[in-house]
Amino acid sequence: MNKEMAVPPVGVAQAERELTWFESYLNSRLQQLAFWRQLAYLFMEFWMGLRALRGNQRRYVKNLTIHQIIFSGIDAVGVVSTVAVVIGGVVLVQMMAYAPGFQGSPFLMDIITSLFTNEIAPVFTALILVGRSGSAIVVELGTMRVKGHHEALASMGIDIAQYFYVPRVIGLTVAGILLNGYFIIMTFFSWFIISSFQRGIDMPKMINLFVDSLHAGDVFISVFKGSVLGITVGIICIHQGVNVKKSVTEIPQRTSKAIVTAFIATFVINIIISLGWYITR
Amino acid sequence: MIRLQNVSFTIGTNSFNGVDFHLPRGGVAVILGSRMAGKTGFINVCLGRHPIDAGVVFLMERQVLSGEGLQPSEVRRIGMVTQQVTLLDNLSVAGNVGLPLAYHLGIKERDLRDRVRPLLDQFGIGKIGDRFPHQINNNEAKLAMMARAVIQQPSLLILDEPTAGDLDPAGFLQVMAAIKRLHDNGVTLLITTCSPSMASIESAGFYYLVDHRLIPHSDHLETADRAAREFFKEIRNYTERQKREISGFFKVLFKDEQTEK
Repeated sequence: MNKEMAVPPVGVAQAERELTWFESYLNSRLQQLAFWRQLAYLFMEFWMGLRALRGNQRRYVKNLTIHQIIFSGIDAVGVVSTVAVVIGGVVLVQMMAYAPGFQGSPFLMDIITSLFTNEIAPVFTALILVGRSGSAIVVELGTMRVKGHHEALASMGIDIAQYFYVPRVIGLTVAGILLNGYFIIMTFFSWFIISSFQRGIDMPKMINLFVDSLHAGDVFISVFKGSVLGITVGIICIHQGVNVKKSVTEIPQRTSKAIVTAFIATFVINIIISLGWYITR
Repeated sequence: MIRLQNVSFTIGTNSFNGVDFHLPRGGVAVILGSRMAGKTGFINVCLGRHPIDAGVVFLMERQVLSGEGLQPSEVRRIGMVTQQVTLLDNLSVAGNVGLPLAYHLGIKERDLRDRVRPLLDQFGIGKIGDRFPHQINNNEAKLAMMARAVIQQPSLLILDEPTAGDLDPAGFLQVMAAIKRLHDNGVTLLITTCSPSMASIESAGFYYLVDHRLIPHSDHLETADRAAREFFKEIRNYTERQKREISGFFKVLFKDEQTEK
C-alpha cells in the first residue's frame, strides 16, 4: 500500500486523538452551554405558541391544559399529602425534642414558617412534579417522537408548540403553585394530628403565631418559586422528550437525564431565588 | 400540483441529482422504490421540508424555497398519511379522525362524532368510531389515518407506504379501494411504495426511485437504463414468485372443493 494513503486525513486524526483534559473540559462546557441555549429556545417556542393561540385553538389547548393540571396537580394530592405529613411531623417532633418552648417563641415560628413556605414546600413539590409528571412527559413525548406523531400533527396544521408545550408547561406551573399551597396546609394538618396525641402543644396559639409570622413576602416567594420551578421542570422534561430521535432505547436514557437535570435545576434555582430574595429584602 | 425541475438534494449519504417530476392536478403518481431508497425524503423535498442543493420545486403553483416548509394556508390543502400508525392513544378513532376539525374549528366532541361518522362509514370503519387505537387492528388504523388525512378535504393527498405494515389481504384491498375512490373523487395523489401491487392503480404515473435517481416509467426503460432494468428484474422475480406461491396456496386451499366437483 502506498505510504501516503495509509496516513489518515487531518480531521480523522484529530477526531481519533485523545483530547487533553483542557480540551475535554472546554468541550463539556460548550455542550452545557448548547444545552441551556436549547432550553431557552424551547421556552421561546412555548411563549410564541402561547401568544399565537387564537379562538378555537385556544379552546382546544385549554382543554388539554386542564387535563394536564388534573394529572399533575389533582392526581398528585396523595403523594404530596404523604410527603407533607411526614416532613411536617418530623420537623414538629424534632422541635419538641430540641426546643420545647418553640410554640411560644415568635422568633422560632418565624424560622419554621419561612422554612416551610419559602424552601421545603416549593422544593419538595417540584421534586414530586419531576418524579410523577416530568418522567411521564419524557416517556410520552419520546414515544410519540419515535412513532412519528410530531410529523403527523404538523401535517394536519397543528402547531407542535401549542399542542405539546403549552398545555404541559402551564399545567406543571399551575400544579406547582397549587401543590405548594396544599403542601403547607397538609403540614399544618400533620401538626394537628400530632398535637391531638401529644400533650404540651398549644395548637391554637401555634396557629396564631404562624399566621402572624406569615408575611405577604413569604406567600409571594412561595408562589413565585412554585411557578418558576414548574416552568423549569416542564421545559427540561419536554426538551428531553422531543430530543428522542429514532430509537425506543433512547427513551429511558432521556428520562433518566431529564430527572437528574430537573433535580439539579430545582435545587440551583431555589438557591438563586432565595439568595436574591434575602439580599433584596 | 407538484413540479420538480432539475432538483438536487441529499438524504443521509445519498445524493440525488437532476430530479425531474411532474404531478398534474387530479393525477396520481406512484413512486416505487426499495426500502431506504429515499422515498420519504423525496416527499419532504416536494413539501419544502427538506433542503435542496439545486433546482426548483413548485407546489400548488408556488415556488417552494429550500427547506422553508409549507405556508399555514397550504397545510390544510394537503393531507398526509404517514408510514407508521400515528393515531393519538388518548383519543378515540372518531376523536383522532376529527382532530383537525376540533383543533382548527373548535368543534366539540359530541358534535364531532356526527361530523366524522359519514366519513368513517365511507372508509368502512363506522363501527369502531368509539374505540381507542389499542383496541383496533392495523387495517382499521390505516383506514382511520386515511380518513383523518382527508377530513379537511385536501386537494393533494400524500400516502407514504399506504400498504406497508401488518396489513392483512383484506386490509390491503380496503386501502386500495379507498385510494381508488379518492382518485375518482378528483383528489391528487402522491404515493410512495415498495409494493409492485400499486401497479393496479389505473392511470397512475409511475416513477422508480432507484440508484439515487427518479426514473419515469416508459416502454423503453428496460433497454435504456441499467439500474432500472435490474430493479425491474427484482420486481418481476418478486411478482412471479408471489404468483407461484399464491397459486400453490389456492391449489391446497380449494383441493376439497375441486375433488367434490
